Amino acid sequence: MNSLSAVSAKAKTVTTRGPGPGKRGRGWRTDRLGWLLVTPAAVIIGALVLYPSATSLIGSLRRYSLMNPERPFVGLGNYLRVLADPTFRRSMVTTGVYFVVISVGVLILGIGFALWLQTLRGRARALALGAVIIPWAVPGTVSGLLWSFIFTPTGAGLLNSALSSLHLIDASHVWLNTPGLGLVLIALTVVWSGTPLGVMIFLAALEGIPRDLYEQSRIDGAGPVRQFWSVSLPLLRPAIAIVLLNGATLAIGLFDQVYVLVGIDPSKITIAGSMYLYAFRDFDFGLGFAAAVIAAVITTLIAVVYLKAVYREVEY
Amino acid sequence: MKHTRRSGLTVIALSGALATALVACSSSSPATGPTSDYTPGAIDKTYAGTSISVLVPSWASFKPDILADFTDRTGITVNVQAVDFDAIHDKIVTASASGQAPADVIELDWTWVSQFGAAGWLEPLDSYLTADQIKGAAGSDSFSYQGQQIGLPYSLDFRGTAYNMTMFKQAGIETPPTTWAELIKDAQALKDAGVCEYPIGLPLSIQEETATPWYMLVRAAGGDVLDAQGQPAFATNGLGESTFQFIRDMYAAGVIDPGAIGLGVQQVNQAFIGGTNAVMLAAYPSIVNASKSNVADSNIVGDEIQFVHAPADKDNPTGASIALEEALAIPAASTHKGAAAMYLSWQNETAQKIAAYNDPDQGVLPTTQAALEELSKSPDNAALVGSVLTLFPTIEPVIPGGPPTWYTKFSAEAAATIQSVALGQVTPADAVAALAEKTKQFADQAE
Repeated sequence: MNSLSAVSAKAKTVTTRGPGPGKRGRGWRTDRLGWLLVTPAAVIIGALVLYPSATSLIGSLRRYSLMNPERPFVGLGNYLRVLADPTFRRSMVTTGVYFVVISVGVLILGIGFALWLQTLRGRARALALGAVIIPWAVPGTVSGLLWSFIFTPTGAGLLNSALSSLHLIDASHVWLNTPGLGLVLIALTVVWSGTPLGVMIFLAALEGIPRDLYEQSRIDGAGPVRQFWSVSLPLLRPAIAIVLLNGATLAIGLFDQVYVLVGIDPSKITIAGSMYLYAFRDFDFGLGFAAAVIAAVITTLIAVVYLKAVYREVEY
Repeated sequence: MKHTRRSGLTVIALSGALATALVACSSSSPATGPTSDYTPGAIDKTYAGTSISVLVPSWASFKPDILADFTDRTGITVNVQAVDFDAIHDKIVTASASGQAPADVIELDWTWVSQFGAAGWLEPLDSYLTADQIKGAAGSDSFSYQGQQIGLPYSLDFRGTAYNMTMFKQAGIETPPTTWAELIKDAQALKDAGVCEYPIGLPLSIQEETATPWYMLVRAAGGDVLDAQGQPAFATNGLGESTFQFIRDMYAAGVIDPGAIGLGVQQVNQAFIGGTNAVMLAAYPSIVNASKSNVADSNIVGDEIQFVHAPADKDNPTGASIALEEALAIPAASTHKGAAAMYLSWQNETAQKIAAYNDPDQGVLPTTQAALEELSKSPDNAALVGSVLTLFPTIEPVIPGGPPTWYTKFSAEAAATIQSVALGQVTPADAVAALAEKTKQFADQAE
């Protein structure tokens, strides 16, 4: 085992989940207090997550139009209709594109900014962190409006205006309607909003890595690049899994920014957009529920893959 | 362990019970009809001490000093929630779907009538208002569902075409065009004369509202978009294809900004008011007021604006000017229907109609003949009221018999089709065939 391997081995991954057997033998009073403390959260989760989830699941198996009081059981009929709908299928592909761009963008920018912030100290770090976090504080609709000013397809658009004044374009471009590029640009607006959370997760993870691991690797002759690949990155795996999962939920649940930027353009809406159209435009909650369940299943599958393939608990 | 499991089960059961209780508690109170002593159209103290909520966009939101008159006369307090128009629909749907009243008085757009009517969310107004109040409000037919009046129009809104004649005259054109060919020719002249680069304002982004100019063109040329049975009349009357061709011709001629495919109605309005466009193809009547000095962001103050019948394929078009009105309605789940009905009667009075028109934050045209006549007495309003009265006889619903329940799906599909046609991605003939096929599918699925 070479030295760097030894450093990595020092921060070993652990497979044990939760408290060990020895910690379970607590008294009834402690258990009761524990359950009492958990109850408020359980009630809230029950009311806001479990009940709506169960309602959605049941609703997805019924014909459920707001314009018809009858709710006959249709089995998987709604799912078949949703999956046969070209607009929904297109929204799945679109969501996939957003998912890739958002995940990669938030991952790279998140790690990059976190590494940069780690080099700063004192007031400079506080100021820089504050600046990086600002986009996270901007609501999706407001963010969409801000970006719409930038991408306005006429000469009044900030991007067209800037590129035109630099003589980089001859005529105004309709950025968001350019095939391929439009989707990437919309995804980048979400990267802008989603990166701050990634930065904070990565920064916290980086700060948690013991300094002596870096010291030891430095003594072994590792430079900053080697340290990143051999020390930081392996120990960031739990953070990477969380950030990637967050990217997936951002992409699948993306609605407000897209709606503000391009309306209900079927080539740009996500699965969440399809859900909205089924439920609120068409008044067909059965299809909306089915689309929501499909989105939940996809998100769960992605989460499982990330947890299995990327996530590792580390112990120093 | 045993205790722990039991406690766990208890917590889960408790959570479920509480969750169910929470949701159950959110169910609505039963709907109530008018009280026996209620007089339709009355504005009195029957409901003094009641407080009602009103959920409307900013242009239907009276200022507190105007509302004070209502409170003085009825003893009813009004809480106004002025919400962005796009958000109102979802608020109403969310609340109504769970059996709640979103407010005691709500906004009702003409496009929502069939869906809200079919869902049974709105209280028929026939026993709350007088027949004169209902029939006296222009466009009230658009808010009738299966023979029952479910909304009272408060805003006279329809579409014509607005021309900035000051800009036209700079290019040597003295009268507004009346045909599609003339419009393109004049726009080209404006462009060549350097008056403006893109003379015609037309939104082409894919949003429900951007299908409106196409409806206007079809109806102005004397045809129907959908017939009373919801069948695609545009496919059989020839106007679907010719109007699509006209849109393509404008775009291809470069008289519409190529960026229009990313623009919505608001942005096009702003471009006209900002002096970027000389023509607003599908304009609302009040655009005439953009030349007045009190309009924010107007670059056309003092310009001569003409609001006239939309151009058509032939000279002297006599087709319909489409009505896009908004109304006030009372949710069936409201527990203050009588007080809400008094509010409807009060806002329908001439004094309130004039106040709503004169308030720059509202600026809505009155729906009653009496209020229009009152407005016309002021020289300041002569141009606007003159335009309105000229086109008044041509105002008709977009779809005879009201929009079908699947109308919103149709309009979204139409907007996407229009954009494809403008960009030349599909020929007008193919676009008509494809949209007609989709229309039939929507109708079949709804049955």
